[in-house]
Amino acid sequence: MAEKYYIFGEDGYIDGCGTGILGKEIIESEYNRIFDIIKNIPQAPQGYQYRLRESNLEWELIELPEEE
Amino acid sequence: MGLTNKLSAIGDAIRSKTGSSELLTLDQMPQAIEGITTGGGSKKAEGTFTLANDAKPPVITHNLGTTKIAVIIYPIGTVTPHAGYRTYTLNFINLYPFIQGQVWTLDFTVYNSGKFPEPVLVDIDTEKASYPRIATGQSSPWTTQNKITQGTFYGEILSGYTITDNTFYYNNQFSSGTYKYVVWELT
Repeated sequence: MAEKYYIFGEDGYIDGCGTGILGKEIIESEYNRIFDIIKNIPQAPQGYQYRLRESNLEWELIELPEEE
Repeated sequence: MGLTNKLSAIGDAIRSKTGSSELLTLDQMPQAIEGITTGGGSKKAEGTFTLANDAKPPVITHNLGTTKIAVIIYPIGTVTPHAGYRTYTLNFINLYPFIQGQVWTLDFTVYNSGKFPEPVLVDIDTEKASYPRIATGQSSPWTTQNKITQGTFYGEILSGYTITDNTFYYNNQFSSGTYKYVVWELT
């Protein structure tokens, strides 16, 4: 059976990608591209996190909520 | 090996399955063996997921319906463990009905990625808070090559999951990285 490829996330951001049955199906070339992008996530400054915007596959720096 | 040693070995084998430390007479052994419930499992679904950040794993679909399944999630490639985030888990989930103490033997191979000082495989949540996080009934057949070729685990129903008939969702966060998941249907 052919491998199936997926992305998952919410609110317009991609939290990750995978194989199996995980979320929104994509084709292998898209998976490979997104996998490479995720594996090269930039280092975020303290208190921030990079999230991958699904619409343009660009990283967006987001401030993390303060821990309670 | 003399007869006494052979009988002791049989007794040890029974005790290893029942979790008892009681000495057994020859007459008690057949009944003790009868009381051992075991089962196996067959691999039904597997895949990978890569998390960009420390996050909850995605919803995983197994399409097995309402049945007994076991799931192992373990890192492949490079995963940098972060405090408070998981890297390994092997759980029995979706157990209907609740079965405690039953043993399944699963054939699988897990290789340590090399990022870990020693195998730290199992982080089993249980329904009862008084239970240790590392299940007492879990054997640890790690070899010096840091791999498991077969595991024997006691069934526990778990917290920390959102489960439907065909999917499960792990509610705790994992360190960023790539993981493999394998789902067994238990028989």
